Amino acid sequence: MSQIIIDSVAKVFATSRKRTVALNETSLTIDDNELVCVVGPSGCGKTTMLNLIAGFIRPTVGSIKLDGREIEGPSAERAVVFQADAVFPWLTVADNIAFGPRMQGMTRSERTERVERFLDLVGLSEFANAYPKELSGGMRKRVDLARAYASGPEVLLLDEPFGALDLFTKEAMWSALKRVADAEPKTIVFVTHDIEEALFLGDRVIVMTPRPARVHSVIDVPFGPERTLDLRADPEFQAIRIQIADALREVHDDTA
Amino acid sequence: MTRLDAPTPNAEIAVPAAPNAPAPRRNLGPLISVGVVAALLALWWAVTTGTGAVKQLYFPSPESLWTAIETLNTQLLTDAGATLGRVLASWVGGSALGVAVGLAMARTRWLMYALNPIIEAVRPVPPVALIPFVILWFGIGDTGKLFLGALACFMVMVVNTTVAVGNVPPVYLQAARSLGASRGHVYRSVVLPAIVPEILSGFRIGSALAFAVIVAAEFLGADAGIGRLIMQASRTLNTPVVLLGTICIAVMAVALDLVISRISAYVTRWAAQ
Ligand SMILES: Nc1ncnc2c1ncn2[C@@H]1O[C@H](COP(=O)(O)OP(=O)(O)OP(=O)(O)O)[C@@H](O)[C@H]1O
Ligand SMILES: [Mg+2]
Repeated sequence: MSQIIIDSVAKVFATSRKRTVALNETSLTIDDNELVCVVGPSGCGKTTMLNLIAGFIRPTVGSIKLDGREIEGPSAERAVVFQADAVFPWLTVADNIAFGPRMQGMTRSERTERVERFLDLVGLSEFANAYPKELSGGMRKRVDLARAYASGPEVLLLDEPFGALDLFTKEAMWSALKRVADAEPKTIVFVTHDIEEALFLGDRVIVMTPRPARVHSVIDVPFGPERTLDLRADPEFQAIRIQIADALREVHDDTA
Repeated sequence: MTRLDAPTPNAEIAVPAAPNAPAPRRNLGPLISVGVVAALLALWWAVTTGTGAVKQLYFPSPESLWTAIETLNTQLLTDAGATLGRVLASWVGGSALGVAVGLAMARTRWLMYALNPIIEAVRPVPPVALIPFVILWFGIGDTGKLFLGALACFMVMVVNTTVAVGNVPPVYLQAARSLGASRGHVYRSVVLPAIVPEILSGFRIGSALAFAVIVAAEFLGADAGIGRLIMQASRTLNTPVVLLGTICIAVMAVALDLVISRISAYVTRWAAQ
């Protein structure tokens, strides 16, 4: 069981010059093994929400619970794939993926086995001994994903992980994510600006309002777990895509 | 639909070399370097021995340099060895201490506040300016010279280390924490490896500085050392020995720098470029 409950959370950033309310009255429940995609205008507070769940920052008001326990700081039960490149450049691909298992004191043989499995799942077995500088941006993101997964978290938090990739690389990343998620289901929070991506991957899509971010609407995605890229041509897929786009346009126009 | 990506027949000759394209050239860089050095050596000979345009006193000829080497013989090696030994000892000691203190300062807030003003005040002072005090404190023996060289390296490394720790991208630290690393683990497995390139470049700066400071300190008196050799020769206007000493320093400094840069290129082979 790994259910996340965000309960009327507010987050205020106060610097000497400025006071920014990033989240206000935000409530959301994410169920066990659910993949929730979060979309919303730039700067609304999506990264802030992930950072709160990750435990890097604490809410100003309200509470965030995982399985009924208050989140108090970062922990291996909640792995993060960041918007920025966070693969360790001084470690080889294999050692990057082994980082989590090593920190958690797994034995060498357990580690090797795990590293090999995830290298295979993200299609990087040939690059096990390469340094990140020898990889393309898309390959580095796959390393990042495999590293987060290999540490065996209950929750995976992804912040626009594929934002900088071209469409075809993105599609390859979707399949990589689907493969690892099928191999080891997890509760996943996936922030993105790409509506098709959200709809293709998510069980639910959450549309956030502009800052301070609150949940504007929740779209239940009616497609089952078996999805192929052709799904995007489905009229129902397109209809929901337009519905989400309209919702985003609406929240955007509210501020304009 | 027209396929724009239809395969070109004979794809392998699709991009013929343009007839007027520049012919592939070998890398001329090293040749240029060798050429310039050779030209300077030739010019040196020409203005001294060749034409006698420059007097021996102002710039000695290649032949007189050779004579100086023969006359000094093993004494040159003794002096060079003494200088190199002092440089290495003060560089290793000062740098190690500098890195250790820098790491401690980066980790402990109150230590940073306590030491930073002292370091910022001492840092801009050229170490050679402290020579009078050092002679008063330590006399003209080895201790004072080692102290000065070590102080110079220490200052470089303290600042270098604290800056390097501050430059570690926060996202690495967060990633490590969310992969289950304790604070201690983050330090050992993320902070330390991440700062290695900057530490190594500090070592290179420090080694050059150590040569400068040690030789300057030797000017004021030493039982052996290139600085002493140069100073003594200059009193008798023995310019060939002065030049020889200078070349000796350059050779040693370049050699040490080469060793450090080779090692650091290997150790930081993961870093871009
Ligand atoms: N550490 C901080 N200090 C001050 N303000 C901050 C901090 N972090 C975020 N903010 C502010 O909070 C707001 C929300 O930022 P956040 O990064 O969560 O947006 P986002 O929804 O992830 O945007 P994007 O889609 O562009 O990534 C912004 O106005 C930002 O300036
Ligand atoms: Mg963001």
